[in-house]
Amino acid sequence: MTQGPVEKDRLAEAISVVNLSKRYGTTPAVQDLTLSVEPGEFFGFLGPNGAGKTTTIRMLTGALPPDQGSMRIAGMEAGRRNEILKRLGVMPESRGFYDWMTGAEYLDFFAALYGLSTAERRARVDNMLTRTELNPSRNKRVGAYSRGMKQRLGLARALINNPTILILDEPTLGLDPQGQGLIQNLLRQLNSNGVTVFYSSHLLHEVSALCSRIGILNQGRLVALGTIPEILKTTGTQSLTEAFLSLTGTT
Amino acid sequence: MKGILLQTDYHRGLPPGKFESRNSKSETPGFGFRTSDLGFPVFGLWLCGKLVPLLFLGLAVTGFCQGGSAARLPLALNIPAHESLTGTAGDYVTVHCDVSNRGNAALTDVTTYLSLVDNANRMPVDLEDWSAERGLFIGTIEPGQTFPLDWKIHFVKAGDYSLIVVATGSGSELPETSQIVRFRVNPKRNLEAAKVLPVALGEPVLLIFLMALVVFFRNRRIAA
Amino acid sequence: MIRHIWRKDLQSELYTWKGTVWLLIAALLFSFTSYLLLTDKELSLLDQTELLWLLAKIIIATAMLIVTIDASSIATAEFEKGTAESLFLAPMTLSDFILGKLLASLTLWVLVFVVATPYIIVASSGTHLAGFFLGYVALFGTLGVLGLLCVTLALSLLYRSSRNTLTTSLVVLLFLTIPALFGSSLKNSGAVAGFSRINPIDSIFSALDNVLVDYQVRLSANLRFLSPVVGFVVVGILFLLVAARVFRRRGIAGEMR
Repeated sequence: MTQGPVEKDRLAEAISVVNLSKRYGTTPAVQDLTLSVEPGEFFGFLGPNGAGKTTTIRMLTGALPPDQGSMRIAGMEAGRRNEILKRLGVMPESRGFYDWMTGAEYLDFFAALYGLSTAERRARVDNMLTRTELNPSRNKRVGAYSRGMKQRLGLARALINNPTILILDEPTLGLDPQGQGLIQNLLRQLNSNGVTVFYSSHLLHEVSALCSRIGILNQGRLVALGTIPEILKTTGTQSLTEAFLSLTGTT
Repeated sequence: MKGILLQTDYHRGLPPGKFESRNSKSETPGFGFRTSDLGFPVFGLWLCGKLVPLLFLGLAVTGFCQGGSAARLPLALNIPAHESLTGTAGDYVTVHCDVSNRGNAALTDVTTYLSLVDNANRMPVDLEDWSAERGLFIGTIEPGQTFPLDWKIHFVKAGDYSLIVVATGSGSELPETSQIVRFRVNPKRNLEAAKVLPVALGEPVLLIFLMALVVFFRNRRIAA
Repeated sequence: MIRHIWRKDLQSELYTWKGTVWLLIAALLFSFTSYLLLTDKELSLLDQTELLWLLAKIIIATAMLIVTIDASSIATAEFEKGTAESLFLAPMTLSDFILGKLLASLTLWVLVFVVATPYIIVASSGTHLAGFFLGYVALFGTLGVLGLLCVTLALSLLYRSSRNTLTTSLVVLLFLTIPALFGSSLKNSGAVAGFSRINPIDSIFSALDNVLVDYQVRLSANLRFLSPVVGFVVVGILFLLVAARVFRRRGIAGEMR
């Protein structure tokens, strides 16, 4: 496995995972995963379908208890879940919405769950709807939104609490180029403002355009970790696609 | 012996006082002579003279006449707490009656009956729907003993009624009665149509109206 | 946190017509029952208090059925529609989630009770029993519904499927209701008698019979009927706690791959 810099003080890291493992019955989904993400980093988490990316993210967000291993998010142990979640913004893979709510009501509901006051919620909702270009449809039922609009609404929900760490699972899946561009620009903007981004995707062009450092998962194991040039050098390939294919055993 | 034979004749189905003729002396009732030996008038007088005491003795053996035929039964029937009998049509109430033997001897075959009279219409009430038991058989009451009885009565119809308990027993042809208890059965309560119907019809309509209002105001807020 | 979940679910009941349709169904059922009690020849032979008892049983049974059906999907819909993961990504505990859902379902019971109140008042007219009727239906109904809700929510957490939860909940409700339909002679025999004594629904019906038909309106006269119902609530809460524990162990995304 190609490895990055030596593990620094875990307290300083945005995300730190050591020997994380998870099985579904007898099938290992994630095996001995160890990685860390620095604050302010735009980290790409790659892997083919079924590699264990979503399982890893669910363990990071506390939606799934790991079978073994430890993790720290925003310098806090996993047990302090509610405090971690206040600093975390997550766009999960399964994106269900309350179809009867309007876009504004949807964001307002989640803003309320973070304990924001009415005035704060109003301001935050307006801000998010504007940044995701959903303002014209704020009073439309979410059930009437297009797929792209729902994706943007999901991102707005992930950002409603002004997180310091953003974890995104396939955020541009199924979007048209305009939609992809909008989200990518927004994420670049956030990252430039110091937000740590953990970006999980199997779209290599996106990852190479956005991410400073990547980890590649294959069959539950981390097979590469480092910057893209480092990985290309280690694998002796010319492009991320070639490196990915060689590391995931599909050449 | 004579009483026993009478009983036998009686049980053969012969009316009391009628005898079959018997040929052998041993079959005769022990009178010592044959009836055919006498003339008819003498025979008739003799017959009456013999039959009456025989009849009396027979009755005494079968228990129809004990200790005197016209004397009243030394029974006291009391319905306590009769003031609480008033109720409403449809109610089930219990009529309690204490039957006491005030005599010196035990009274046997004591049977009690309930009677009800409609005061307004001045007619007896057929107890078929009012009470499952009309008559309650007590049997023997020892001297000084008080027997409590309960009748469960269903107030079938509203009105003004009088109730009496009658007791019969061996030792007297005359029954004994309790005091007359007068009570009122009030008309049965029913749902008031004038109140129920407006709610039954109006509430679903009101709910539909409220639902329509919610939809209207919701849709006004939400863009199409 | 609980308040927000509760409010969200109430709005969902209102704006998706789920709750409002149930209230309308309840009102139509009570209207039909009242009309029947008024006009049916055989029923009109009964005394008014016996008619009230009949109405009370209909109200309790209807409320329990509605609340059970609604509660079967109030939590499981979050998992089936994929909103659960987003929801639990907010700083919210499982207790907040459960209590919010419980309150929302209890509110539906309260609304059914409010719908039933005018029927109770007009049917009791002339008997001076309206207050007691309302009070005892509120007391026993709330406890009975609470027990049933705890069982249903527990099943929701275990199954995470509205169909399975609904089926099992209805079986439980049926199991508890059937002895109440037995005649008194059958209820006095052996095992049925024992089950009848601990059966919460049977106890609720018996308490209302005691109050409405036998005029035993004092609470002390009906305390013996309260214990099976309270026991049912306790069992329900314990079951819910166990289910919550299993849910935590499996994780919010436990059934998802």
